Amino acid sequence: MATHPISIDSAGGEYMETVLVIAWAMKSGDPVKTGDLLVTVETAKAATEIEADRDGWLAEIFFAEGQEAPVGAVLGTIADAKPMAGQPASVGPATAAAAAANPRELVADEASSSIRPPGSRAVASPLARRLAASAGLDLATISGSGPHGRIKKRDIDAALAARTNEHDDAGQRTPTAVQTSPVAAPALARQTAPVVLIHGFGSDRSVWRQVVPLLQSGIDTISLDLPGHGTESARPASSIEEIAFLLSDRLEEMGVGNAHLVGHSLGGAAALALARLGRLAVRSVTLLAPGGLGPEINASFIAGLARATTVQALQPWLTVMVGDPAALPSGYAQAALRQMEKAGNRDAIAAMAESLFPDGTQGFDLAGALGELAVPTRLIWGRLDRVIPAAHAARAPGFTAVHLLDGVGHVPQIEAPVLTARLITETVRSAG
Amino acid sequence: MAMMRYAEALNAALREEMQADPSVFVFGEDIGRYGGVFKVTKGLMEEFGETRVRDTPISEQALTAMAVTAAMTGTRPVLEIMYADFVPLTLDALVNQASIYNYIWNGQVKMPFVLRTQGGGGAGAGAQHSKSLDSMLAHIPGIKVVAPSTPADAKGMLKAAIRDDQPVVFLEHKLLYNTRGEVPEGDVTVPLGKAATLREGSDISIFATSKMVVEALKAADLLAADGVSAEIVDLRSLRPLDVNAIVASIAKTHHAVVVNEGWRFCGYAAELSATIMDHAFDELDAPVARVTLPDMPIPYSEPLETAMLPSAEKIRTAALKTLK
Repeated sequence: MATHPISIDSAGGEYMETVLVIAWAMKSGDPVKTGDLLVTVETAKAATEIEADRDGWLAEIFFAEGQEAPVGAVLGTIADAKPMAGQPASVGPATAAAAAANPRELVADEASSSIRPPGSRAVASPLARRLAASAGLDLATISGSGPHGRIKKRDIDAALAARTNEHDDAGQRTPTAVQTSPVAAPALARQTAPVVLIHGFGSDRSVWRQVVPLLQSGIDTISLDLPGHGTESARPASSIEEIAFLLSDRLEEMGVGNAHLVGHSLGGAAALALARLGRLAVRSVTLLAPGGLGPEINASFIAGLARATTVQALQPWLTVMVGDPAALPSGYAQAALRQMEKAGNRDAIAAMAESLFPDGTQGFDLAGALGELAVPTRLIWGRLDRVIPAAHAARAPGFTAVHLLDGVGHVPQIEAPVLTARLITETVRSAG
Repeated sequence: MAMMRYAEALNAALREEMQADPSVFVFGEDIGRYGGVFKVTKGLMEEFGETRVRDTPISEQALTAMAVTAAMTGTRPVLEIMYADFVPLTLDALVNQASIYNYIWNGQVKMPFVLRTQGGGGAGAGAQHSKSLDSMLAHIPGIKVVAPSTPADAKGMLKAAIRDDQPVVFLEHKLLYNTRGEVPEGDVTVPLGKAATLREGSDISIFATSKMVVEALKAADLLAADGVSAEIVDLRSLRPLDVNAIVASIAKTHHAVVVNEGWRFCGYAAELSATIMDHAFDELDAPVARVTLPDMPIPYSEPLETAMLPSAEKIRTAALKTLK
């Protein structure tokens, strides 16, 4: 629903930094006609009345009576449609919603800060952005106390404290909501370790569709989208470490403290980087044609995949991906392309290709991470792999079981789903 | 521990290294008979003779080339360039020889020489004798650039620099030579490339080298009176840079002021700011603030020079602004 700011720009306060809100003429949810008196504020010389510039409903009140508001701040909003009872009219500030219910309960220090008009970009420090994202806070609901209204860490802390108090008062405290520390995650860890499946470059989690139902019953699976891929297109990553951090954050959010890792290609490298990170208790590792075990990678394939905009352009590259083109499910190219066309996906993937595979070389070496694993480890590689050479399997340490599949190319999970599922099941079971 | 002046600590380091290793020798303008303009090489000629302690003509370009060839052929020369303002004369040997020979000859050549020099303002020495050209030197890959702030680090790092197989530019400051501090006795080296946290704090990190560390410590006192807890990190080495120490401090305070006595544009403070954004962007709660010399020549007039130089008060102002 569209809302319109009630501003004090025209309130004659140019020579002042703040104005004092004297009285609101109506309450949140009341209908408004153009020219109606909305609010009276005290400016340099006199009380000034602010009138409605349109018809609608008074939706939100950001500055309660008795509070000072900076000149230029938005005092409240008018909505085009009647707000639902008990709800703010828009994705508006939570505190403002509380204020609307009882304006006098607004926290005092909010007076000196400004809340942006709905829809404008929040100005926040990088730290504040990160903290808000990990706590699930919408920056649009937070007022910034820094220069030019910049949201700083202290504002996030205040918002989190307010939220905790709210929950306490309501007797429905949810500890997960305010946790930002990874240290707390193990307490929430699941009892049984799930199998976490990580797809490869340019793909998405649906690539495991055939394998998952073939796993032995009782095995839980979580298929993750890599950063920059699938549902995560908004958050690309530029290094294998960053991928590992982001995946690890997501698993922690899900309460996954220990897991069996299965990774394909770039996802295999990600699995190794994730294991090396040490934030997750890894029970076993199954790698399908993983990256990170040698410098070679088929640069034309990566570039072709990232660049293709038509089925005709994509099809030859998909043919390179498999040992036998007949193994590709019909419509695979269309589906892959559809995925790529989703907002942001193509840009995210192209950017990742550039930083992860500079000059057509794998920009990371995870042989060391593989060598450090102390859990059952299995390597599966198609002998006909034309994307990453199966010869890289020769770098596997002695404790790793290596399976080289005849007639299979780069994607065993599509080309040999039954065998792949069996090998994943055996790895998971052997870990106990 | 012994209480020593910064210049005495450097002198002790040179003496000890020359005693321990006959391949170490020192040379430069007025460093022998006269003992150096700042008396860092005082008494060395008497002790080690005119072969290992050489007075040279005024030709920084030839002297640096001499250091390069002497280092390549198995000695460990320590060259003194009287003022950092004369460093541009040494640059060809640094940029086109010292920094790259190891690379172009596939590691067959070592380059174990030290170029000592002193810079900085505050002594009324005018536009040709007051500059800090750290940035120009730290820009060159293949050489190390260090700038200790205390007598203990001056001694320990000069010993480490002499033993290092890479060229090391050792930056001193004319106003530090008379500062005093405790120096551990005996053969103690301080590793190059490691920062030192001189004062712990929780609100803001201040990164500096050389004389600017002294100003930063004064600023921390001023800030304490303002109710701000400042952490002072003495980077000690400009290159290699102790990025881990920087990131660790910012992860604690989330605010940073970087201080450098050199010019602002393309300066070392800019490099530090960019490094912080490369490695700790998501830890920052405010933009990184730079405190530097303005992009102008340094005036001879004392009030004008004072107005230009980075100072404790300017660091304090920058810190308070960053914390707003």
